[in-house]
Amino acid sequence: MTVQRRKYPILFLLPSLIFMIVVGLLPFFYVLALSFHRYRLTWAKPWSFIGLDNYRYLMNWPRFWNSVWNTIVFAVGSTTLEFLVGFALALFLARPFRGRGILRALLVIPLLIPPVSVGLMWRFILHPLIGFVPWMIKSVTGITVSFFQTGEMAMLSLILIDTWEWFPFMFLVLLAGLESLPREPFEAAYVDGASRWQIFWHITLPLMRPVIAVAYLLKFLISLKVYDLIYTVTTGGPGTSTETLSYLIYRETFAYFWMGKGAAMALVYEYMIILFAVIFVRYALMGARR
Amino acid sequence: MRFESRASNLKELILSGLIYFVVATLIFVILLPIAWIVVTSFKPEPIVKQPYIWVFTPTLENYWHIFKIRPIWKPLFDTSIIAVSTSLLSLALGTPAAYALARYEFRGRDDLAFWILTFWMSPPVAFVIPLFIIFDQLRLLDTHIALIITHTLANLPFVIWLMREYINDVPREIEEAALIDGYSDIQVFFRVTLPLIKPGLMAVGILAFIFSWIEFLYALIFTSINVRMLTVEVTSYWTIAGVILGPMTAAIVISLIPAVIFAFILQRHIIRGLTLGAVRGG
Repeated sequence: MTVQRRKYPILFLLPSLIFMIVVGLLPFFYVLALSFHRYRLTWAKPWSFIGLDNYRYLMNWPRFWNSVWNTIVFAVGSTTLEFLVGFALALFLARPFRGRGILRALLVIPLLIPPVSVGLMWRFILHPLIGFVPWMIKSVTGITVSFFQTGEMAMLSLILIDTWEWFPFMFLVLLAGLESLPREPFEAAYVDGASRWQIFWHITLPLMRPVIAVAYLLKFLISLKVYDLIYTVTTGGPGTSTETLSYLIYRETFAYFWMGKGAAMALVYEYMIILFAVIFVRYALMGARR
Repeated sequence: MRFESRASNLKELILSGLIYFVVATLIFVILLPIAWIVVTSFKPEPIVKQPYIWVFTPTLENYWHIFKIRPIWKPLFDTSIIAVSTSLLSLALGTPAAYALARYEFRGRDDLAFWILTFWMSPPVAFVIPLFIIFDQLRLLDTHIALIITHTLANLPFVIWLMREYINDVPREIEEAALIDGYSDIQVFFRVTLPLIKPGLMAVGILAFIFSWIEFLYALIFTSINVRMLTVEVTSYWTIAGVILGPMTAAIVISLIPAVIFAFILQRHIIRGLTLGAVRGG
């Protein structure tokens, strides 16, 4: 029998909704309004309305597009590398062995430490003069490696640092996914004499698709917001070669105080992320749930 | 026959050897950078910048520096206050909302849940610009309240999503039995559901605590002197003017403490936490 109840969900929802509307949604409209104005924080002058000028400026500003490109390169590069490393390890270690609990607990640590500490730690370890890794490489192979000298190297270093921090996420999520798969399809395929490769390609991969989608898309979303690593490791350099959107917006608004331009950039950024989330992440989250 | 089984024994042996090799490599890769920072934090000043020195007499001078000369007590205290308040506030606001999303049928429920999540997906830098101006006018800059509010905004969506999953785990029949006994909706929530989801509340509360502890951008923009966050303090040792390396490594070590403490407790919940409840941990 079903009990008739549950009349006022709004009572339970109200505190959260009020909070999010006041602290989250109102500022959003504030930013929207700001993006149509010229306003510099250090000026006494009030906002002056300039219509779409901020947006027009952005469309023709190479530095803006450079940061969009860098953000995408970083997000695609780091997420893909982490996925490949994490999935390979999960496939290999999805079996009982001694020390599993300890390994799992250790792998959780990088996910829980402050990203700024991760950044500073690696900036020190990879430092050309006082770093441990360049010294090791030099004493073993005799080659001097500069991790942050060129734009490409700096971006690659950032991706590798991010991979150190986040591959455990991919590994743990995909391992949990592998272990929750039903056994029957695998047994049936084994009885039918399917090869390992066939089993992986026709059974494991299709069954894992929802979990892979969730892990990849959520991490991708997190990477698009990257800020702490850039701030601590490269500060966007050399030049602007590792400047991501978050970092450029921060610089425009809180170093040069161009609030209107910053607001326009923040909105474009926000729309890109929400659009991506509405198209992909929403269905991935629902698909994995059931 | 015998030959075959011996061959498969050998195969097993190689496989298990390979597994332990991979596991050992993994542990090495994860721990080496952390270990190097810990080692460096015990190095005396003259050799801090010399990576080739392994053997030395450990010293506490870097820790003495951060606790006495440039007290890290204040950031530790401020960060703890803000992280605990954030955690409690987001649980208090988020758990009832999660209950409504899990147990009530109403139109647009999934859309509402996703709308809530967009606040988690949005880049913090988009909130920083308006909130900086608003906090400035309300005289809230450089206060604990500014960070508790913004950290709660950042945490609330995932707290709601995650608590919804923990509430979904509670069989509806238990709640329905209580309703037949004459409990009201609100009594059911407080007296039946809440006690049953205590482990979930613990795990989500700890996660919210940690996410507040490690947050950086809001802390950097909204606070300066009155309130000092650990993540900002850690970055202040490496500036354009130069780096105070020894004390910085000591401060980094301090900033890692909650991660090390909670890694073991959280390992079963972390997967669920980071995938917003979509994937269950082992």
